[in-house]
Amino acid sequence: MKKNNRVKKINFFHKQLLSVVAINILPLLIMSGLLYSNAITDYKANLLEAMDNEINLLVSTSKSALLFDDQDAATELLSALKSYTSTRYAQLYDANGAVFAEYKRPGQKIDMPIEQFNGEIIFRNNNFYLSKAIMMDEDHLGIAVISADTNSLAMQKSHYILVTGWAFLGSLVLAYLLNWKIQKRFTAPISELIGLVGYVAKNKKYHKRLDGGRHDEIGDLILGVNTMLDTIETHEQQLYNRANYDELTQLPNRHLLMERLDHAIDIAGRNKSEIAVLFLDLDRFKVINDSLGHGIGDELLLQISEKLVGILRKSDSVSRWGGDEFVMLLENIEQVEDIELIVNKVILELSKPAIVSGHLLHITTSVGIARFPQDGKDSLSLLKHADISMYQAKSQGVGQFRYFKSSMLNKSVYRLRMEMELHNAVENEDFFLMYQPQLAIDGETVVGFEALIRWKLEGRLIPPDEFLPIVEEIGLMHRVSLWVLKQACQQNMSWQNAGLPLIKMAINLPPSFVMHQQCFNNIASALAGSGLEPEYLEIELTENTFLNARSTAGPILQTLRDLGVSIAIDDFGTGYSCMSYLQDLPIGTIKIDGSFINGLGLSRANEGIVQSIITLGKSLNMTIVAECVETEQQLNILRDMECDIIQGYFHSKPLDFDEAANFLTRKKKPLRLRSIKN
Amino acid sequence: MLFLRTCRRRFAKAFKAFAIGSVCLLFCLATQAEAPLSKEDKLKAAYLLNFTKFIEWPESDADERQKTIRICIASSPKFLAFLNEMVRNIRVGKLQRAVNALPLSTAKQCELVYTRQSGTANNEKLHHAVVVVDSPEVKFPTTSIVFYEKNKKLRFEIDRDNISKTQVVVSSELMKLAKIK
Repeated sequence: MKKNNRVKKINFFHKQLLSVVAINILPLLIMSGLLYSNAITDYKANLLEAMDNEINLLVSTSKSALLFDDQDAATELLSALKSYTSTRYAQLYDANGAVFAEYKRPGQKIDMPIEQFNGEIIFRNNNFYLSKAIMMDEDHLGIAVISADTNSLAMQKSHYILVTGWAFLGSLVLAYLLNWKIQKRFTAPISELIGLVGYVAKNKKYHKRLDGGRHDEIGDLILGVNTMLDTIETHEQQLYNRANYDELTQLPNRHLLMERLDHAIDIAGRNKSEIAVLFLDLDRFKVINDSLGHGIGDELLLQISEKLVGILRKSDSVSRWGGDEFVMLLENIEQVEDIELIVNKVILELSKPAIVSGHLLHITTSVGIARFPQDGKDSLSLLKHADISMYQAKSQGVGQFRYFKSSMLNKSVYRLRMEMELHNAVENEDFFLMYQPQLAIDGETVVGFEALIRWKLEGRLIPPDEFLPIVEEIGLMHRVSLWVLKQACQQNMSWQNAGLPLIKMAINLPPSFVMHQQCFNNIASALAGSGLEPEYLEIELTENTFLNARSTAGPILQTLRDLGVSIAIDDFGTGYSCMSYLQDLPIGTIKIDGSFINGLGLSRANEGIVQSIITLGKSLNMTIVAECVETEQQLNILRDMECDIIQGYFHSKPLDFDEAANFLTRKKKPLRLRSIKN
Repeated sequence: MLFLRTCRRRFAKAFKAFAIGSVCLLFCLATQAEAPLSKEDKLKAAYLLNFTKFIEWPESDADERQKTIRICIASSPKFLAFLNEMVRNIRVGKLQRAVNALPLSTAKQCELVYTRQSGTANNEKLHHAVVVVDSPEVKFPTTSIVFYEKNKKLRFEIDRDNISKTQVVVSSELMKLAKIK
């Protein structure tokens, strides 16, 4: 296993190179073997041929010596074989088989009798033996015998082994070097590819590319890798953008903000400088979003983000935190005035009307400010404190900013608790309704009740203007409104069932409820569920409902009106300045805002406004309701102005269910609203 | 009887002696008639034959008989007879010539002449003939080969000038064995 692992760890090209060299070794070995074998065979053949030539020469030259019985000549002839170092001995036998002459190399002895020669080459004891008959024409003159050793053959074998060994080694080295060189040349692009892939894998960076100027398979491979890297880089960039930038505004998102904030804190910590975190939350953006749709809301967010970017200094940055929340990071703050200069500029710029898809939209922003290092040492605490400050600013009204103070933490905790309690209250339906009577101007006839939601937390009555904004912010307003709607219809129906005078029940519905696509079904369902006739239900809408969704609200309101439900404008005079909607929309009632009623008898201008509203409403054949009537003087003035209905503490505070029933019992039978108008 | 017996015995002894004597006489006569050639002569006869194997005579356009190598002998008839017996059915050289031994006196033409007697160069029959003399003491004008003894072995000397005049081709094999003059 270890060996396998070691083999696996060897560089691929090294393995390939070794494989090629190993493959080269085989033919080299075969060639070397063949060369060796061939050389040895040749040498042996040459040796034997030489031996044969030797004996032939001996035979041909020894005839005369034999014929003339000249042993001296024969011996001399044989002694010439000294030059043949391999020749051990040579003998000449005469025709009778007697030794005629012989030659022996020193140290050699005659080791084979003539009888054992047969004319062929004999190999015995590492020696060659050869004999040949000496003939003269047909006369047998004798026999020549030669014996040669194989020392030269052994030496030659050693020599060839050495030569072929060196040739083999040389070829091996040459094959290795050539293959290494060729492979290096051929695989250089692949090595570059591997390097690139390794670089990409290690650094997760995809910007490098290889030169693909080849037209072979490797060129295709490089092109493929480059293309893949292009794709990955694009996807990486997209992923990075998605991870770090808001898709709508293309501003940095909270992830990138946190990185930048951490970085800014590090630098500020080292440089002993200050930074400021501005938490922006658009006021009433939800109204716009709900009423005009998300498309308009998104367009508005885009314009706002552009404005914010335009306000920034080079060292600052802005990000979208989510929804209608933005966070601005101001670095290198030298003095508080620098922050306020920018904040005021932001509030001013954002408060300027924006035209989105033909809609003139008014938006403001609340800003919470937290500074480093005094308000937090890390990004999370800075953001949290800026967020708390923003809520504090928002509680002070629209278009405000607040610096973080440690005391805000308590309020924040309180708000958090409120949110939790409100969730529980919605689940448990812990709310209850109070009913404030609406009487005809004569003060005797009960025309209707306005249902007012109330909530008690641990026995303490929480004001609606305290908890309703939170309900709105935490997204529970629709459920709460639906509960109020059903509850009010059922109460009214129960009074009718109890034989009490028929009155109209007014309920306040937020713009988001009216804009909801199920608005009509919800109202119709509440009426059907309770059995209340639509004419005994009046929905009160603020002017803001028409501010941003006039075209959308119109058909819905008309449908409701056709059903028989009355529609009233609440807090009239405090909102939208354009009153053309009064003419276009099916509005039956105008409720003059209490701030105008409170000024009656104190300011002629105020009375002029009230009179104008009443005159306007009358001219449009609408019923006029005055809210917050608390004094007889106010009542008298309103009577003189021919106001139709009075609502306020002068007649009655909001009553609970039983009190309202008693109140109804005590008063005269209410008139039909239409009769009041007439 | 005794006489007869004695006579018979005497006759038998006489006959036996006669028979033995006759056999001995016959043996003596026979051995005298077949007096063996000396070993030296036999060797010389063999050498003469061997010379023909190493000498090439120029070709002639003579008849068939010219294809025979004639060894002309000026020696004892025994020698001639021995040589004749030796060369019978022998063919030598590239042309596989037959070899014939004949007396010099009767020969018309000779390729090889062997003589034990000194003499003078004779006529046409010695033309192209290689003259071999028995010993250095034998003087012959055109002698090409002379037998001599050395260390009790028969050897021969070749006179290069004379043998070249005969226009024969002598094998180096022969030359290497000879003493060259």
